[in-house]
Amino acid sequence: MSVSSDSMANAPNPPNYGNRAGFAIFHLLIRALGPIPAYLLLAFIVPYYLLLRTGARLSASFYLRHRFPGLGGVRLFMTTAYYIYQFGKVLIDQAAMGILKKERFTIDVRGGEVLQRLSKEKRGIVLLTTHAGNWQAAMANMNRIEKRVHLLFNLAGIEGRHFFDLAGQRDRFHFIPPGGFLGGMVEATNALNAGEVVAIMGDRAFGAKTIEMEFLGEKAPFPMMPYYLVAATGANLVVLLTVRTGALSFSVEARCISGEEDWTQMPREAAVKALMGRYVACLEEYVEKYPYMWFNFFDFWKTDSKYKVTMRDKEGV
Amino acid sequence: MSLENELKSLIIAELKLVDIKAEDINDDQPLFGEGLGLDSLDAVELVVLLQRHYKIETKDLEQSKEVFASVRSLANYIRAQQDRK
Repeated sequence: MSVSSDSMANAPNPPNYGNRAGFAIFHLLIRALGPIPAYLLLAFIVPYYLLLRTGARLSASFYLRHRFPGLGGVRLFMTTAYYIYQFGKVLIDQAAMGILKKERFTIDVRGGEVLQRLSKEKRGIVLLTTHAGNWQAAMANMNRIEKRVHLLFNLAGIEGRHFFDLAGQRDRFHFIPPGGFLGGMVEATNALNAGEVVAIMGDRAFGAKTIEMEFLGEKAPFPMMPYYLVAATGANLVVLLTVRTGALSFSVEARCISGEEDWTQMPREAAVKALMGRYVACLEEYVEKYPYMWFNFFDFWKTDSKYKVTMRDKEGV
Repeated sequence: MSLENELKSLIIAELKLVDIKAEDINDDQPLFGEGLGLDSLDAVELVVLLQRHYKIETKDLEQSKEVFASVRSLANYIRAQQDRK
């Protein structure tokens, strides 16, 4: 197996949508008048990003060109405008989560009974989140899980980009820094062995070990650690996908994709690839149904060979 | 067999290390990075190994760095935990 760093230091830098002053204006507007005026203001700002910030247009095009192959010229321009506007609305909703009262939000959770059932099991749960819809809304409403939840996320990065994310919710979660000792794997494995929950992003591989999978017609590197943790500990694997259904309104779906198989008894590589394949199938189904809800503004299909993993044949134990 | 040698054999067997024998591993050799060359995937296997074979957890992050430093530190930690039980 190739040995590589688990550092997050080599993460690409997606373009920054907004700055401190801009966020402050939006926050004031949300606080004073609610989200609708903020959406309206956003509609006037989107053309600025499209026309003057070519980096923003380029970063959106990586995904859009894969999702809508053959799209070009004016149609691609308009599609990009709509996509960036949808993303902006999700950012406004995220900010509103930290500003407005919880009663103003409508969150429909599908698969909640699955989470309740799994949280009664002794086995741990790997919760696979995705940059889709408003994943913060999904995490903030995980009170159906009667287990301790650890987030293997780069909190500094989240705070830097979206003020007020998870506001008032942080005490409920324990954050494991992915840039910490051995990528947080000791902590994550212990948590799963203790029957707790570890949430990991399934579609963000920065600095993590990856395996390539066919996604929207081309191979893309996906982080392998969530599946490796399931294969080693026998935890359940649950995919969380959120959809923005309207102003301050979301739908969250929880789907258990680990099934009844005993993944600990399979060779690790086969288990990891099979589980990852199930997640990628869910993701493809999602972007097919909600093409403007998956937000990864960088070349998702670019593989950094430094992080590509050739696994030793780790048999089940 | 000493606990250190038992651990070396377990690490080789469960982490599927090839072309390496227990006697090739020094008790104080670093397990990760420059030493034995283990990585974060191996860390997952090591944690599972400790739990399955010795019923031991390492929950404290700062403690983990010391515990997983070498075979000797792992063995010392296991002994300390077993004495506590």
